[in-house]
Order: sequence, then C-alpha cells, then structure tokens
Amino acid sequence: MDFINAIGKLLNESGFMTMTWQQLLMILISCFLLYLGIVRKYEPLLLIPIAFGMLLTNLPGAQMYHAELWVDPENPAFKPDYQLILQKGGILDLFYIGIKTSVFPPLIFMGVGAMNDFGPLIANPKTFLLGAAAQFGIFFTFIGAQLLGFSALEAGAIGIIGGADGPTAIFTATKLAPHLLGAIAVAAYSYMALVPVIQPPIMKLLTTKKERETVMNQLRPVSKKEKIIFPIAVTILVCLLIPAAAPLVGMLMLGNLARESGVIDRLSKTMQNELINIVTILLGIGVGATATAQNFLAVETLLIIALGLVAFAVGTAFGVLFGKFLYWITKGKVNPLIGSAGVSAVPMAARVSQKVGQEANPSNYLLMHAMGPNVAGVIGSAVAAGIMISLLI
Amino acid sequence: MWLQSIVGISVVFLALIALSFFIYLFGKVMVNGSTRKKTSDDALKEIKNIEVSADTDDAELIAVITAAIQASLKKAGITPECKIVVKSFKRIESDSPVWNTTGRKEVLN
Repeated sequence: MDFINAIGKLLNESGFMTMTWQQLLMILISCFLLYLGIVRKYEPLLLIPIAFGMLLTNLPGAQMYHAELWVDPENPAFKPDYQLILQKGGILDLFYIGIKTSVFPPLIFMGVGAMNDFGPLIANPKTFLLGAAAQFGIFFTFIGAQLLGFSALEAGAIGIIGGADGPTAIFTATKLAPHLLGAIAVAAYSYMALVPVIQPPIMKLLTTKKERETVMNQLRPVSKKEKIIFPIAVTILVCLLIPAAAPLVGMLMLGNLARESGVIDRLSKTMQNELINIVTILLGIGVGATATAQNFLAVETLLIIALGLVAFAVGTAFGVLFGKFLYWITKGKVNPLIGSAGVSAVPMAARVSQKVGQEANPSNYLLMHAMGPNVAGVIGSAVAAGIMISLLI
Repeated sequence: MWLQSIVGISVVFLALIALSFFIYLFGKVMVNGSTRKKTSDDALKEIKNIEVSADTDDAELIAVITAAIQASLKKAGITPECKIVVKSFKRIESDSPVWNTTGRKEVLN
C-alpha cells in the first residue's frame, strides 16, 4: 500500500500533473524560438540561451525562477528584497540579479567596444548624424505605444527596440518596465536577426536608383592617436551631457580604448571573447527566465512585437531620409543607403547597406562607409536610452 | 508625451552633433599636424637611404621593392618623373621586442 501511495505522491508532484495549459503553450513557444535559432540561425548566440531560459522557467515545479520575488503587478514601486532572493531564489533568479542590477548589459557593451573599430566614424564624423536620425524610431514608437494604452514607462522601454540594440533594450526595460523584459528582448533580437529582410524594401522605396549608385570617396586614414583619444573624449562628453547613459557608453568606450591602446591586448581579447561569451550566456538565460506564462501570454506581447517592428522600420526610414538630406547638401557625395545602418545592429545593418548598394552598382563598396553610422548608432541608441531613463524616472 | 519625445530626439541630435563637431575639429588638427611633418624632402631622403650600396641578383625582390617605393611616392604626391633604380638592399634587424612583433603578426593574420 505504501508503495502505491509513494508512486501516487510522486506522480502528483511531477510536472505533468501540475502543468497549466499556459505553461504548455510557453514551452511550445520556446521550442519554436529554439528552432528559429538553431535551424534558421536567427541571432543564435542570444536566441538559444533566451529560448532555453523560457523553457526552464515554464517547467512547473522546477522552481528555477520566482517571478513574485521580482515584480508585484499590483505595486509598480515594488523593490526586490535581495536577501530573500539569495535565500529562496532558484538558479535563474541568481542569474537574473546580474540583469536587474544592470551589470550584464554594460559588460556586453564593453565587449562590443573591444570588437568594433570606430575608425570609419572618426574619418567621416558627419555620419554621427545618421546614427542620431535613426533614433527617431524610438521616439515615434514611444508616442505610438502610449496612444495604444501603454503607460509612459512601458512605452519608453518598448520604443528602445527601435534602437536595434539588444543590450540597450534590456538595460532600459529592466529600469522602466521589468515585467515586459521577456517580450522586449525577444522582439529586439528577432528584429535584429531580420535586418536583412526588413531593411532593403524600405531603403529601396525611399531612394532613387541614381542615389543608390553613388560611389563615395575613400575614407582618410585615421591615426592611432585619434583612435586612442576618441573613446576618452566621447566618454567625457556624453557622460557629462547625459549621465544616465554613462554605464553603457562608459563601458563601450573602455572596451574600445582597451582595443586601440594596444598595450593591454590580453584584456582586450578577454573582453571580446571569454567575457562577452560568459555574460551572453547568463544574460540570455536570465532574460528568458522572465518570460513566464503569466508575463508573456498577454495581448501586450503581440502589441510589443508589432510596435517593435514599427520602431525598427521608422528608424531605418529616418536614417535613409537623413542620408538623402546629406546626399543633397554634399551634392551627391554621400550615398543615402548608409543611413539605414544608423540603427545599431552591428555589423549586420552595414552589410545590408553594402549589399543593397552593390545591387544598384556592382562596383560600389559601401561597407566601410556604412560602419561609420553603424557604430554611431550604437552610441546614439545608448544616448537615447539614457535620455529616456532620465526623462521618465 | 509629445514634449518628452521632442526633447528626447533633440537631445540625441544635440549630443551627436557635439561629438561630430568635436571629432571633426580634432581630425582637422591631427591631419594638418601629420601632413606638415612628411614633406617631399623627407620622402626623397628615405629613398636615398634605400638606394645605397653593393650588389645582389635577386631580381624579383628588387622589383617588389621598386614597386613599393613607387607606390609610396605616388601616395606622397610625388609624380614618377624622378626615376628610381634599386641597386641593392640590406635587411635591417628589427629592434622591437619579440612579443610586440608576435602581437603585430597576430593582428595582421
């Protein structure tokens, strides 16, 4: 009899008996995202950890993540009690501490800074403006989301998807609307993966064939001294102007200085390889963990995904339109196609400019020119995120 | 809401215009500084240094060196009316530490 009771108790405690249909649906969604990551190769480096985090957090009884320790839907001013989290939290709660305390996104930015060469931007500082123009999508969506009934804080977090920068979107969402983090991260990374699909039609629609064929002058060589002073100067200027952007911009520029200074190769290599990889794993799983059934299965998620697309498309469009403006004032020296690279998504967006440019004129090489607005976009979206945070909190 | 958006996008533009302007000015200073140093006289001196002494029959290497000098002359804005002949060349031992050389090679590969 005891034996049968024991089996019965085990069965009742197993996940199969306690699972709700919402959790089952979430498990199916996470499997679909895993499929997109593995088979379709949509940003697999992040999508796979995120999707797996979603899978783990929705397995009933596993107790790896406790949403109630982090947010209280009734009380927006709820502050997590870290002592309690350390005592009762599961492993995903512990990973999530790094996101909630805004440690991981700046560390990722450090790696991004160490991986990217700001030379094309230094050689052609006009392209800074394209990086700014592409941030229009953020503010456009900020208004749109509020008209659709989102609160100002939520709208701010959703708008940042238009910056097309994963770490920035995560950084802002944890500060402004942590309950939407899962949906925002999934939307941001999906659209970043879809850059080659979303951008070309917008770029072609807004430019004439003649504009697309524009060949740009070769960039001037940039000296080592300039490359070293650049990160220091940007840090001082931006962090004084918008202190809320300091964690992202500061770390981005530290990474870049490590790269360009040439005297701390070991640190620079760690930043762009081991460190960013480790943080990516923890960040991905932690973000995925927040996508619990009760958080994620809401009409809002669908709206966020739709608004994310709008943000992205408007950002691209304004980048291209500003590129046209530069084409016009420089009398045809700037190819407007590089404007679309002003949304960050490094280096994918720059490759798209190159590809569309080559379709119009096979002998045209826009890649290096597009890298300028592309890295300016990283700085621009971090600045926009900082402004959003300081305007809304 | 509208006000916040307008303020937001304006500050983004302001910040990046400020950066752009700074980098532009900085670039101006740096470019002027570096072009002043490299006059054609210096370039010619460098060539003379290369042209010195002795004998060799490694034709292929000479061709490569000649081409490289020509190319760098062209880059410096000197037209090829000054014809150059490489009569000999001598390998100069690099004086940078082996770790630096290795690092540089890694970057090049």
